[in-house]
Amino acid sequence: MENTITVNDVDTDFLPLIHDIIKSGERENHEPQKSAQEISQKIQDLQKKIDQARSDIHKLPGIQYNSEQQLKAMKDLRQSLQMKRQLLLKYRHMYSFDIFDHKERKAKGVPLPITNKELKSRTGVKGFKP
Amino acid sequence: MSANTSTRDKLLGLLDDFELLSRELIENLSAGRQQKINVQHQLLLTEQLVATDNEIKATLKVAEHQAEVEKKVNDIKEEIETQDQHITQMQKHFKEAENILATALFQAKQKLQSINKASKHPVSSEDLIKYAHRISASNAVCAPLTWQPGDARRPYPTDIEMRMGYLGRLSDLPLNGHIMQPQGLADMVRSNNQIDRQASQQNQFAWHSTGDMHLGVGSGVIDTRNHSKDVSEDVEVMSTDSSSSSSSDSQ
Repeated sequence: MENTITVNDVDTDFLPLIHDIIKSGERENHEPQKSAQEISQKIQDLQKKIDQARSDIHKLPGIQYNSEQQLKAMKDLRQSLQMKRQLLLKYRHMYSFDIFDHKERKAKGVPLPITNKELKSRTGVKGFKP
Repeated sequence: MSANTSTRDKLLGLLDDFELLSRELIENLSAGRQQKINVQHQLLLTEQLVATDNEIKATLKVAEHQAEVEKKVNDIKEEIETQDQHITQMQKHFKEAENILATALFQAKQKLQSINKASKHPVSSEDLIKYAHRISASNAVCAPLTWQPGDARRPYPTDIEMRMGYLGRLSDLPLNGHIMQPQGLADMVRSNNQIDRQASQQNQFAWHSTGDMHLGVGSGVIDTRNHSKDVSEDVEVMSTDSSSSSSSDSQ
């Protein structure tokens, strides 16, 4: 990202240059040779300026898509971030071994411990009666 | 089409337009001096040029806004990356926990199996103690406290005891025709005396057939009887002072 620039760095003030060129053209009647050189020089400057603006525009960040697409992408990314945060929170506080009361577990959203029946169906181990 | 055009393409298109218009205007102006070209056309070109310039400026403002949004997007992406790392870390921990739990479950299964096995063949504590005394009397690392010269008891397995063991009985298998498999400690304790007698009788027959070992076997028979008596006495003696062997075993 070292090549990125801001919008303020892009010079798009072309109209004064064009104005100068037109002015020089009007003066052509008085000093035709000098004026022609001046005009061609200014046209070259204008061309350079336009080319420079073109290359600067390529370096501007975040304009590879339009505004709507960018906002949509940001919304999607926010959603994804939210989902990941929730996932982490869910698994960080998934099982609390020190809450024995089932009602308290339900109130706090902590899943109930595995029953003997589930244990046997999943692992084949006969559970103990506490 | 314009809805899907990126801001960059739009800006570049506007610049191209501006370049074309300015070129046309300048060419018209230089040509106009020679051949009086329509002034209205030049006016129109100038207006278009100014409009394009304004549009470029407006689009640049949009680009500026998009650059700010891009910063936020980058921040969100960084945050997502951090969360991804946390998720990977957590996944790693879960995998470790799964391994530990699987091992624990396997061991618990084995323990349950042995518990079930033990509850199917219960052994009374009396039998267990008797057997423990028997082991400590004949296979202890030191002689009993009451041992005196002439005592038949030894801290190592005697000849007869070796014959009573599996190795000794292996040679009897073809003669017996069946394998004796005592189940559990209680059976072993109960069957030990019988085995003593059986073994001595069988050995008597077996060694009779070879002939030359007859005398040795005779003494063996006597030894067995003495030994069985000794054992019963040992049990009595050891039960009175239950100090040395049992305590050392428990440690």
